[in-house]
Amino acid sequence: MSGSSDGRSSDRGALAGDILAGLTVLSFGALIYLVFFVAPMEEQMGIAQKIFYIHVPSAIAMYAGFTCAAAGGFMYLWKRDDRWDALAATGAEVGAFFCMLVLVTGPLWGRKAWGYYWVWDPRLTSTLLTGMIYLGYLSLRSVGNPGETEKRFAAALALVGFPLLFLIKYSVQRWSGQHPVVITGNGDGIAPEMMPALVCGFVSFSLLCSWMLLVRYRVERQRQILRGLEITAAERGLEIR
Amino acid sequence: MKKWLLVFALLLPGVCLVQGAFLVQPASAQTETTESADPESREAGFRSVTGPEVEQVPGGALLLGAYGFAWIATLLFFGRVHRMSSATASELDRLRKTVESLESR
Repeated sequence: MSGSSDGRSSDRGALAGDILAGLTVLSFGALIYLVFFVAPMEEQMGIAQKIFYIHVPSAIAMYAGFTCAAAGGFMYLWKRDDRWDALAATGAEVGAFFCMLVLVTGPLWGRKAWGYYWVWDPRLTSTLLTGMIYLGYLSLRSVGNPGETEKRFAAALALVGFPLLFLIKYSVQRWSGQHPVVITGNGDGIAPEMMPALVCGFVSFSLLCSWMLLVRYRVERQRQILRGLEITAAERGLEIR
Repeated sequence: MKKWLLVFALLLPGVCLVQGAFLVQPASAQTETTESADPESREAGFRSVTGPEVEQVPGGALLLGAYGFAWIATLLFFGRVHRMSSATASELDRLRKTVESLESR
C-alpha cells in the first residue's frame, strides 16, 4: 500500500471517527431522555428496572466485539495479514469492555430483582467464562511485543471463545435458570411504552461499539506500523533508541 | 480545543443522567431504611418487625451505580486509547527524525 493511499485511508478513518462520535453523543442524549423521562416506571422493580436499557444493549455490543475478535483471528490464521490481527485484538478489547459492563450492570439489576448480586445461573456463568477467555487473550497480547507465534496462539484462543457466544444465547432456553428472557419473538415480554428507550439503547450502544472499534483499530494499526519500522531499523543496524 | 469539546459532550449527558435519576426517584426510596438511633440496643436483642417483611433495596442507588460505572468506564476507555495514540504518534515522529538525521550524514 502506498504512502498516499495510507494517508487517504487515515483521513477517511478520522472523518468516520468524527461522524461516529457525533452520532454516538447525540444518540446517548436521546437515550437518557427516553429512559428517564419517557419510559414508564416498572411495576415490580421500580426505578432499578431502567438498568435493563443499558444492560441488554451492552450484551449485544459484547457479542459484536467478540465476533470481530473471532473473525479477525480466523482471517489472520488464514491470510497471515497483520490487519486481521489488529481487528482481532480490537474486537477482543471492545468485547471485553462490554462484557465487563454486562457483568457489573447485571448483578446490580439482580440485587433488586432476586435479592442477591450473583447466582451460578447458566447464562451468568457462561458470560463470565467467555469474558475470562477473552481476558486470557488480552493478557497473552499484553506480554511485550507479540511475535508470529503469540499472534497465532491468540487467534486460536479468539476462535475457542466464539462458540461460547451461542452458549450464552441459548443457555436460558436449554437449561432455564434464573436469568429472565424479556425479549421474545412474539414481543410480549416488554411493555410497548418501554420499546422506544430499548430501541434507542440498541442504536446508541451499536454506535458506541462501532466508534470504539474504529478508534482502537486505528491505534492498533499505528502500533503495528511502528513495531515494523523499529524491526526494520534494527535489522539495518540503525541506532534508534 | 476539539478534545475539550468531546470531553464536555461526554460529561454533559452524565450530569443530565444524575439529575434525571434524582428527579424520577420515588420519595419512598429515600426513607427506605429505618434504623434504631442507638447501635448498642440493636445488637442486644432481636425484635420482630411491624409492617411488611420485605427487604428494601435502594433502586436509585443501584441505578446510579450501573449508569455511573458505564459512564466512567467509557471515559477511561477513550482516555486510554487517546494516551496510546499520542504515545505511538510521538514514537513515530521520533523514529522519523532519527531516520532523517541518519540519512543526512
